[in-house]
Amino acid sequence: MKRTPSPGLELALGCVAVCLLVAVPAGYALARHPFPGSGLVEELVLLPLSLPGITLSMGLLAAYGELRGPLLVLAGHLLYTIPFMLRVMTATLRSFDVGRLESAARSLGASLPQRLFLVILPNLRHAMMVGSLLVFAVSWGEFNVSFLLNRGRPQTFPAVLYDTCTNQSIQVSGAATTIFLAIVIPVVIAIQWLGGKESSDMEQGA
Amino acid sequence: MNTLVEANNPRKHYGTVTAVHDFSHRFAPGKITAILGPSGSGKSTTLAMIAGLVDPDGGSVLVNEIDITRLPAERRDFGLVFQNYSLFPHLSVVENVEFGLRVRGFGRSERRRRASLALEQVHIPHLANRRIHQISGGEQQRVALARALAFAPRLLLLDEPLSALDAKLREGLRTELGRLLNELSLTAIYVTHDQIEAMSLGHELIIMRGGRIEQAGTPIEVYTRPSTPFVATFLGSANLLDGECLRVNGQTRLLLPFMALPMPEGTPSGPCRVMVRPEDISIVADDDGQFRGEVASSVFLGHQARLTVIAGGYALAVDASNEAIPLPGAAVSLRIRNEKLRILARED
Repeated sequence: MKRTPSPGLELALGCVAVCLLVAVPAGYALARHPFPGSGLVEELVLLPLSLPGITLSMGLLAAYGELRGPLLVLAGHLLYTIPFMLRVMTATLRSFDVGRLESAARSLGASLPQRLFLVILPNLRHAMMVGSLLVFAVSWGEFNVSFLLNRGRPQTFPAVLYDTCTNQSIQVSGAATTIFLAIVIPVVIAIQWLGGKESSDMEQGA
Repeated sequence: MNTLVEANNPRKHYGTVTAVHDFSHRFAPGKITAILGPSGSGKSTTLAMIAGLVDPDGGSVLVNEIDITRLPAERRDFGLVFQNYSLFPHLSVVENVEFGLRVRGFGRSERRRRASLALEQVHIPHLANRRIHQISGGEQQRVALARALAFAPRLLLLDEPLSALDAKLREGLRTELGRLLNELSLTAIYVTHDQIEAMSLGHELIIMRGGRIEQAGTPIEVYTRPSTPFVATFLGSANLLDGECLRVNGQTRLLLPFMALPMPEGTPSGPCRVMVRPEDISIVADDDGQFRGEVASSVFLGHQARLTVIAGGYALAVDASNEAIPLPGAAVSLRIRNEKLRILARED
């Protein structure tokens, strides 16, 4: 029997992976090596958050209609989630002087990869965790883009909820909602806990 | 380790601002050289260029006659202690100290052995397993020093290492730091804006101003024989007086607004600037006085008092014993120790 993964789980995890790969280096570059116009770039990345999901979806369909399906849904989710990861990264990198730590590591003989893996990334681990949970929660709960850009089987849990609410009984949709919350509530609690822990560490840190 | 370090005019400009433009010096091997200057004098930029953290726009830095100007900081083997400690918050005390050894590929047991030795040198072996945020500022600075020493650097650079600490702690650490650096006989460059640190720790003292060396020498030389009015007033307190040297009947005499003094043979004639330090003017009995003045104010400093005495239109700073501090308004007789007078080049 073919195993059916939870709808949206692969998508949310894929979003987290792509966001980490894109937003961590981008956040580092923006915070550590600002250039003329880098502030504008940061604001532009946030722009999709202010657009209604339907507008974004229609725009993506008009431009990349032939890609309609899981890939286009992923692209839509990334437009919504990268800003969260990027904001968390830039805020964290600006909350402590990463340049100072890098200089210290250089003076101690650390090469660029050693500085990256022994100093920068370990100091970003909380931020990466918080950012990943945020991205997961946003992607997991996203409906508009997932519903409009998808073709065939529903890609996200909210799309399944919509399906159960409109086509099946209230008991089934109630059960589906419970499963949805059982996943998202621990994630939200983890975000709160890690966020608090990180600020406390930053305040106490050297 | 007696590393010979030489700066051949490494220059740095930030846009239109010149940070350092005239700094050529051979640092005494195995000794501590203190670089002292006001904020913005270029001392930290000079240190950063020697460390390799800032690329000079011109000039060079030599170590044991080898040009290292373009050698990356991570390949210089210089220990660096920062003002704000710059410890790695994600590592424990001992892991911080081991860092330089870890990136050099030392095995775990050797790393631990050397790090423990370095922690013992700075008297905090008991803090090895603490997190950085669990130790005090003074302890953090000891960790920073141990971290910079653990990999046996060939040069130690210290950028205002004690300035973030409170006065009492700073005094204690200063003494300890001096003892440790002297024991190690490591070539060290110590940047500070604190004159007491510079004079007490430095075997050699460089005064910087406006991105250039104003004067270099031993602390005693620079203090007693400042070459410019800036050095005279920046290092300690000094009275600067306008005078004129005249040759009268084959003798050179210095005319000051309130008296005349004989000067040694060879003192050039003409208008001049004269420096006399407050501790070289004494309040004496009326019969022994060279001139008189009126006390305008007195400040009790604990071990002594600092008076402002008006004489010949000048407000002279004068140190007095705190046993009998004259009150404001009192007339006092004063005597200058002639041999301590210093004629300076005029600054335009």
